[in-house]
Amino acid sequence: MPVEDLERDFPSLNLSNYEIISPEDFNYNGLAFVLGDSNNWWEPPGILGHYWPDGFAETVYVETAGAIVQLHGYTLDTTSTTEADAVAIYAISGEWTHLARSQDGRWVSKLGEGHDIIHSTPDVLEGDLFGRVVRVLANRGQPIKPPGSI
Amino acid sequence: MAGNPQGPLSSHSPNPDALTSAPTEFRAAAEDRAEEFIALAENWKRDTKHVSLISRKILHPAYLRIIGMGQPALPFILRELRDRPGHWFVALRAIDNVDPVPAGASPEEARELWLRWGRAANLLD
Repeated sequence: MPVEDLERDFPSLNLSNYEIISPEDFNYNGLAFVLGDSNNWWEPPGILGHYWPDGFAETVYVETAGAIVQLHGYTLDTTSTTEADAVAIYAISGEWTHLARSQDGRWVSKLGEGHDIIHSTPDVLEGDLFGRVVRVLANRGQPIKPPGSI
Repeated sequence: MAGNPQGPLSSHSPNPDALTSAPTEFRAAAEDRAEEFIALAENWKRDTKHVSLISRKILHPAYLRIIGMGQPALPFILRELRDRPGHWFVALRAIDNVDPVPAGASPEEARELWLRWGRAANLLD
C-alpha cells in the first residue's frame, strides 16, 4: 500500500516516527496482533472468519477488550506510555477501535488489514479513525499466554 | 434466483446446484456493471483498510451498495477475493444466502472455501 494512504489515515505519522515491518495481511487485526496471534481476526461473534474467545461478551466495548488483554498478563492499569511491556486500547464512544503494544521502548501495531508498523508513541495513531487511547495496561513480568489459551 | 432465499442458510457446504441454472446470465449481467463494482470496491478498500473491526467495515456505503447489486456482483466479488484477499464474506453470504464456512475458520480458510464454492458454482474461473 502506498505510504501516502497510510499517512492520509493517520496524519500524525511521518517518516521520522514510524516504520512498516510487514506486508499487508487480512488474516489478523490489532487485537490479535498484540496478543501474538497472526492467524485469526479477533472480533465478536466468532463466525464469518472471525475468532472470539469463549467466555467473553460478544461486544466491542473497551471493557471486554480490556478483560481479554488482562487475561494475557496485562493486569496493571497505568497512565504511563513508557512501560517496557504494555497494551494501549484506542476507542471511540466506548468501543475499541485499535490496540497497540509497547516493545523495546517503541510501539507496534497492526493497522486493520494493512501493515504491521513500529511507531514512536501511541498518540501518533490517534485521530478520526482510531479515536484516542483510553486505557493502557502493563505487564510487569508475568509470562504471556500463547494465543487462544484463554 | 441463484441462492435459496426461502430456505435456511447452508452453513457448511456450498450449494452450487442452486446456482448452475443461469450462471451465464449472471456473468453477462455482471460484466455490464464492471465499472460500478470496481469503483465501489476501490472506494471501500481505500476507506476501510485500516479499520480493525469488520462490523464497521461492512457498514461503509460502498460495501452496502455492492450487496445491493445482488447476484450480478458475485463473480466480481469472487475475483476480487481471489486476487486481493479481503473481508468479502458478509457480502457473499448476504447476496446468496449460503455460507460454506464453518464457525472458527480463519479468514484465509474462509477465503479458500468461498473460492471453492465459486468455482463449483461456475462463477469463477
